[in-house]
Amino acid sequence: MKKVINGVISLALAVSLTACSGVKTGNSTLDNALSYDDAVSELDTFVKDINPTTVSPRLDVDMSEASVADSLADIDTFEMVLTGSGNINIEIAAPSEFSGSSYPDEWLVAVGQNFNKEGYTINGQSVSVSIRKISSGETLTYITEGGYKPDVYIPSNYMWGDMLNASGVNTTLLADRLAGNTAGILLSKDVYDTYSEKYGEVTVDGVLQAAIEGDLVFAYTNPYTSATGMNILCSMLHSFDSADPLSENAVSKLVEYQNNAPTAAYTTSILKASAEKGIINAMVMEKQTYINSADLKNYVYTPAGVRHDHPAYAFSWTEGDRLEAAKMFIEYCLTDEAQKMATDRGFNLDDDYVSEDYGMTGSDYLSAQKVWKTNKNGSRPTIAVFVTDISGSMNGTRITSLKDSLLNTMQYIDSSNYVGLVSYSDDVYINLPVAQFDNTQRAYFSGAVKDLTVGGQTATYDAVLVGLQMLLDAKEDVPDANCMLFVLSDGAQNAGYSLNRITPIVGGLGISVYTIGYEMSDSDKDQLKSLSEINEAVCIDADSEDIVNELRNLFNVNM
Amino acid sequence: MKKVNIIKMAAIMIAALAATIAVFYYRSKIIINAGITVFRTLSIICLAISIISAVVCISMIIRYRAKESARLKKLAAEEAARQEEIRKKKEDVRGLIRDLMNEESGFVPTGTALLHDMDQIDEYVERNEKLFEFNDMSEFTNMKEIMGSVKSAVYHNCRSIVNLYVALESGDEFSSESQIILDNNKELMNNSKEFLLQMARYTNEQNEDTDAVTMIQGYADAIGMSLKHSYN
Repeated sequence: MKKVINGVISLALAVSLTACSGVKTGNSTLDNALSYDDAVSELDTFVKDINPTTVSPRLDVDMSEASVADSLADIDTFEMVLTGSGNINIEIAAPSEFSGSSYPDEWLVAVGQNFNKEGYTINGQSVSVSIRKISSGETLTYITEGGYKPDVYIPSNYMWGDMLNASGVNTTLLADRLAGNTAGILLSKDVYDTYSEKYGEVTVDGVLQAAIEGDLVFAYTNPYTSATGMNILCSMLHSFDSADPLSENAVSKLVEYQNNAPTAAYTTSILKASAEKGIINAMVMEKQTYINSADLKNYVYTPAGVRHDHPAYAFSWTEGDRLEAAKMFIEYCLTDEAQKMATDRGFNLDDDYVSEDYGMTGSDYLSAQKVWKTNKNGSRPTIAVFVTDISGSMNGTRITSLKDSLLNTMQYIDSSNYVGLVSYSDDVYINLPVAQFDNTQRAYFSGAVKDLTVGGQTATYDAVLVGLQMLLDAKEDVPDANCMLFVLSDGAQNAGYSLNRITPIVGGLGISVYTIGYEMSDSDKDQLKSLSEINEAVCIDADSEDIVNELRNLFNVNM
Repeated sequence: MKKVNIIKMAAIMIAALAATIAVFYYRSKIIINAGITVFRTLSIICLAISIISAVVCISMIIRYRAKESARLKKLAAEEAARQEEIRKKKEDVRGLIRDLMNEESGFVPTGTALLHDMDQIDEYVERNEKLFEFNDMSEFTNMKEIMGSVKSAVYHNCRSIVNLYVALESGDEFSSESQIILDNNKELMNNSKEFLLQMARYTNEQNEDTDAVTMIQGYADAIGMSLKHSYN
């Protein structure tokens, strides 16, 4: 009898081990991710238990079109990294590679500090500079749409100056180079060796070909905000059709390429993180960033596209003494001492590299951005569900900011995409089922957002699960769509299921979860960051004032 | 194969089935609290144990019943053999008579007569069997066993006389009682003899001699009466 019982137990264990051994994780970077099918099964069980309430959405017949200006946060959400105190104090808009807060990304700030100490005067009035850290693309948007009027604009490359002129903003070129730099392609050493053997020299054309062949995974940054991203985009279009980078031929090749390409990264940091995880092995970056990143030593850098020499522009409103002060500062930047400081920080390398000539104008660059916006997902639409926190802590300015930001940035969601809305406090509510974001769905979305009311605790992860279920259900009708979840919250979960419990499900489904948290504590931030990192998405830490910027950029990249 | 082992295995099977039902009933709770892998593992284990224990239990029951049936058959066979042995011993009247003749000289005359009667009836039975074997006696099939019954009765009478002698030994009482039985034997023998004769006549003149049929029936009836006397 004992033998029989032992035999039964052994057989049962053998059978169960055999059954379990077939379970494979769907997420190669997450140790405990479930397989896709198991994740779907668990998700179904959880959502049935959560039992969300469906709210009938209201059609917002009064919905008005938001302008781009409505979608811009106050310019002061971009940090003023140096504040001058002179009587003639000029404001300079400069990108982060030299307007950062610490070495080696603070060259312009260091030069500005030195300049301010020099005590220059014009007509007896003291001269100083203030520097605002803002990306090349954001500056363009704020100038053309938001009425921002810096005295000097120093974009990473001349494309932005051309775009400004094409937008009707007259510029005066003060210098065509303040600090020399290049943008280029980074390949991991292994990939570089394999690539070189098969394709020869590293070029944008070659890299695209290798990506299409499946020999590498190539990602780049948002061309709306990132000069590097914009540079490479134009280089891509030029490689698709050198005679006319905006031709149908070039666009169709872009669509074909984007069908299998990773989503554009929100920032260069995201690219680096993805590379570290082995998700991508080819990316874009500026030389100065690359040279100062110890963790990229195993990568080979090859310059590409146009040079990033940081031209300096003044405007029609920069006149008289202010223009004089601007020229004075630019000259100061070009002194040997200032240039040595730049070289020490990784600028002024690759001086023998000559820019590619795309044959494109400022208008062409603006069109290229629009082409990218429309075709960045290839022929695949995006299905997105917004998961919004309506717990009691959101009461007041936070919920108002949330609503305003969603209403003002929905214009950046293309009508080819599919959108749904979920809200949560103690319980989870489906405010708007997923549907194509045509005018009707926009009106329903607007109505649903406006009707959000706060109260209760924060069952964040219950809502995440419901949102994921909605995405899966919608994907049955649109099988080739990209799915993404956007979670907007101000605090940590204090009701419902925990992050630890849902992580294997999120990992198994492989759906990107973008988290936008505002006015959060460090521990709350860590939770939302962990949630977004499960499938290599972004966690945006915004305050109520700049949430609208963050959403705008996020939608430009993803929607 | 002990019954207690079957009960134990049945208990395991029932427990495993109950566990399987419970696992599926609480599927949602298990998945939510422990994950789908745990649920799958538990359900597979419980199902596997249920199925395996059911198969083992059924196999044990089948084997137990087969063994039990064989045991009972063996017991029945042994009992039958024992009864047969007893019956044979009981029916070995000749042996009894000879043993008694050897032990009791006073029984020798009676014993000799009894042996003679037994031999005689054996011969009658043999003749009867031959008649039925070599002739179409379909009309008298129901009478085929009459001679067998006569033989049983004669043997029974002889045994009775043996028992009488053992109980009473030689004496007047024995003589009077045994004579009654001897007379019955004689009656049976005579009727049997006539029965056989009429049977023989019938076989010689079938369908033509209705008297033989009547006579046969008559002697069969007479034998029947004699048999009644024997067992009374």
